[in-house]
Amino acid sequence: MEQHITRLLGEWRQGSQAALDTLLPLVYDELHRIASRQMARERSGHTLQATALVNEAWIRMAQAANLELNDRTHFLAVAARVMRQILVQYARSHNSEKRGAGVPRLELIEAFDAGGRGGPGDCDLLALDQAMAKLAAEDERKSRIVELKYFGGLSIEEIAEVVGVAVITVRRDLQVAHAFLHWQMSGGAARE
Amino acid sequence: MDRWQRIEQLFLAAAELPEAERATFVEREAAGDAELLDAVNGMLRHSDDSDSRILAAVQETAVAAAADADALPAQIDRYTVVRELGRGGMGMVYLAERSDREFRQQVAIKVVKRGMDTALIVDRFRHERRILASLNHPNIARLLDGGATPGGLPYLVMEYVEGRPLAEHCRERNLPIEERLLLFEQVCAAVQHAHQKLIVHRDLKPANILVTPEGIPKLLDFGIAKLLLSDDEESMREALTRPGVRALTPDYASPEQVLGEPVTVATDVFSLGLVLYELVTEQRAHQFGVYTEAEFLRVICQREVRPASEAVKDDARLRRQVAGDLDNIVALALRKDPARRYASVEQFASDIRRHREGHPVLARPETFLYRARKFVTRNRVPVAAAALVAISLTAGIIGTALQARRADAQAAKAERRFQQVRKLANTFVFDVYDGMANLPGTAKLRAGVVATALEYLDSLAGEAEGENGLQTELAAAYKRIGDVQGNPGLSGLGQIDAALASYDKAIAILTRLADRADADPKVLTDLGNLERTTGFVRISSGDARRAIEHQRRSIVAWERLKPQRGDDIEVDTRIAQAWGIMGQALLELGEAQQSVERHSAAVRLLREWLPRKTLPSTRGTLSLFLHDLGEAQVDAGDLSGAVRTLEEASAIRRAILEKDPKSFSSRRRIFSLDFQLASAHGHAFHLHLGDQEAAERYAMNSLRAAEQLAVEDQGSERSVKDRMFGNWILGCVLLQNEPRRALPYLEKALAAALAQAKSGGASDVSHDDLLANSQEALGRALVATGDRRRGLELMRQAVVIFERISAQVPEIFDYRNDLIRATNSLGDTQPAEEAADWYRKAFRAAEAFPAGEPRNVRELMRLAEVHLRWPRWNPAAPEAERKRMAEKSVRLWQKLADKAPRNRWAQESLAEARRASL
Repeated sequence: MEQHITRLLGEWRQGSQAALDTLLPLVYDELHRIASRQMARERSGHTLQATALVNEAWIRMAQAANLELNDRTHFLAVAARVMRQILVQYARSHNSEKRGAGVPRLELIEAFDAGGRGGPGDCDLLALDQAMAKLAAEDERKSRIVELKYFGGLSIEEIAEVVGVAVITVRRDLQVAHAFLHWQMSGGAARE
Repeated sequence: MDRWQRIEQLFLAAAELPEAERATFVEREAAGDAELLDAVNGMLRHSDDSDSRILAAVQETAVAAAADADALPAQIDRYTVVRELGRGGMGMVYLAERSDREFRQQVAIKVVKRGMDTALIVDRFRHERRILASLNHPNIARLLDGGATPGGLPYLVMEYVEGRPLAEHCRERNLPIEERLLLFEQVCAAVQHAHQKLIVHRDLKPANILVTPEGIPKLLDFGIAKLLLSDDEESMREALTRPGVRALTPDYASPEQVLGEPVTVATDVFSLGLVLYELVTEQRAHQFGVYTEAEFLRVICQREVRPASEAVKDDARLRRQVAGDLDNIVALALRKDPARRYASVEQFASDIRRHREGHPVLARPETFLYRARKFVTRNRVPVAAAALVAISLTAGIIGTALQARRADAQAAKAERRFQQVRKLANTFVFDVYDGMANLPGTAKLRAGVVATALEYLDSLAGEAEGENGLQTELAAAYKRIGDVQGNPGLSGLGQIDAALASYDKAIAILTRLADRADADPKVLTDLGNLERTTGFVRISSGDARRAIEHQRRSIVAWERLKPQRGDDIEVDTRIAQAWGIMGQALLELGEAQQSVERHSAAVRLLREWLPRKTLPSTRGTLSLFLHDLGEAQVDAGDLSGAVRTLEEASAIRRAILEKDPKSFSSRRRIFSLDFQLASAHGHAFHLHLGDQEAAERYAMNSLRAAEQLAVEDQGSERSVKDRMFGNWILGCVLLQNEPRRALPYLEKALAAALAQAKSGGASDVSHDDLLANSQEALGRALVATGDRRRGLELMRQAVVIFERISAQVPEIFDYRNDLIRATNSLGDTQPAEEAADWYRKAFRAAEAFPAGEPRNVRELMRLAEVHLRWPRWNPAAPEAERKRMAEKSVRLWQKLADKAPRNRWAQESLAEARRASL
């Protein structure tokens, strides 16, 4: 399958949804493999980073599939999306498990409120994901830029290339997106 | 501006201010809009937050998830997990052991992955468990147990098969063909067993068949198997087609699976045929150029598989063994039509056995019409092939469905089929066209696709009478084809006559359907749009009067929709567009002021919507309207107004382009706006502002953009024309002050215009006009730089062409206009005596202008020019006559000079006219 990756990336760049659908599980599995290995290596000190993971996935798959350097940003863009999916899926199942384990919903909400923010780690991720979805509904590009930066670890310049806008536009988009996301994650219009 | 844009703008503006001033600023700007105020203030409160919270959210979850992914469960129920065997998108497979005192058994445990335990996947798991429980065969991996983990994740305990996938097993051991066939017969026996239990596997592939070290094949993974008698067909279909959970492996899929048709035992026969093909040839039968739906369709449903013997590599003996019976057996299993394959797996396996034992087989070579459609040639690039397949499939099935409908029998089935076809038609024909229209460099391929599609449509049109719904769709298809053939605004092939013929067919159909009080709104919408488009294209073919008629009818169609749709931006936009195209047609007819009025009406109508909720396309549309208005203003002689309008259009367009930098059409618009702006600032043939520097800058941008667009859309007539215009405008700007620099550009423009005129159809008068314009411009530059002989020759040729086309299409004033200009220019190069003849000719031509005030600035210029020259060829005219003509000349030149105070040529001519009147 790996010899297809270059081609799939190319096709996805040209707009093929089918190519992306084929790519996603490949990247997904690769990310999982790397994560497992990293954890085995660094079980004590948790230095693992989502974005570093995405980058390592690129390096490994690039070697295995002989990818060109100019595929990199587009690969990272795919990986960013996958990373977001993985993390959200995880946070969701984790959350429901807690609920399923008998913690009354009310308590859970109170606990979050007491903390003054959306909640601990993975709950904050769900808040972020929801805020990003809201942002995307208003402005797809800004949400995508956030995804590329925080889930894919792309630099501003790389983001500009993938999205096809000027660097200054990326910066401005991030400025607006940050404010919007933080506002939303802190409760948005409803809470404040 | 939409809500979000306002939030964003206000936020950015406020963020620039010192914190203390923000609140009052926002309060004032929001002007009582509480929601807006709320959002902007909310965002401002967090405008200086660091991104550590986002980083932490991602980071913490990543660490937790990675730890979790790694965790191997120690125990699942009574089984001790040994290691991971594999993982897929939805689940994990572990090797585990069960130890009961003396009895030790290795098992494979399949568990749903955490996070993937959706109702759908859990259902699928239960389904597989039910299926496996009913199977008991030595060649099928056995189900031993099953349950759910304490966390609620379902699992299956299966017989652990320690083996290699079938294809690898054969390759690694280099098994001779007879042994491969024996293995395959055992696989068939397993599948046949499942079929007897009314279970279809649906996902047979070499990877799902393992061979133990003892050489026993075992069938795995009944994950998407189907109970033939089950009533949950719908839910399974959903399971198979839902994005992300798509279970189908295209490499081993059957045509019926790709088309979403019922799956039967014949589906497994087909997949087994593919497995056999691979066992025999070590090649996959289906090979995809790209992983797209269209490619799956092409390869699986359309293309005949290459005979197995031909696919055998480097082994002449094997090739001989496979040729004949085995080729025929594989081909019979792989027929596209399920009904024409082996009736059962048992029959399939028996045929192989007969072959092995040297008995005659059932399978015979394919002898009759089973060939692929001829127009799908193998050499075309995938996109074109996919397009052709989509079209042929669609059209073919539409025909069949119609017949089935008429036959009356099985009416319900036929109806269902008909609806499927309709969907196919809409999805495929249109998506493929749209896809191609946006792909640069597909001009030639598009032409082939279009010819084929037209043939089908024409034959369908005959059969579809009385089917209103289908009539509507046919009209839509004709329209699309017209677009591809020649709509100059789209990626056209430049076949304008053909395009108009297709549009007229569509209009005829729609007008018939619209001719009743309760006409379907969709029909009215389509008709309104189509009349508008057709009128637009008619302008290009030189038929401006009919173009105006089309616009009137378009507006009528939209007005008819108003009672139902009320205050609707789309209706207003469409009406405004029709006004705009009417304005363009009027401009062609020379009615500049009327044109400005129509265009202004269009701009006004759209601007009224801006404070309200607009469509995503509204700004682009507004830019277009402004573009056209600017052009009309130039002709009406309002040069500075025109420049303002064009600059506004350009600014809007550039903002749009920034959001979508690759957009071909936006870039082409900017090219065209730059052309207009260059022209208004300094085109030698027109009245202009006399700003040479700006003119050259715009012209250079225009040429560069045209060259870039031409590279990307090579071969299209449109791009060739654009490049010609780019060269021409730069040449015409340079012509006045730097004729030598103008030469190379004008040479290129002329070469391109010559090529165009040669390839153009009979109705392309516009090509001749372009040619003559290029000849005149280059001729003038050559004369100015000393090459009189060739220069004069070109100018004469131009005059001949202008004479011909102005006689041929008298209603287009500009051809006459061109004729007068070129004739006077030629006269200017001649000694007094010959000049008189040319001047007289020009004067006579100008007499054909409508009486009264000039309708546009070009007529004004031409009239002024002929009056300025009048005294030169009438030296002996009576005093009163001379005085009358001279006064008229001054009056005309005064008008021109007022319109363009910085235009040297206008000022100098005014001075000359004044001198003559003294």
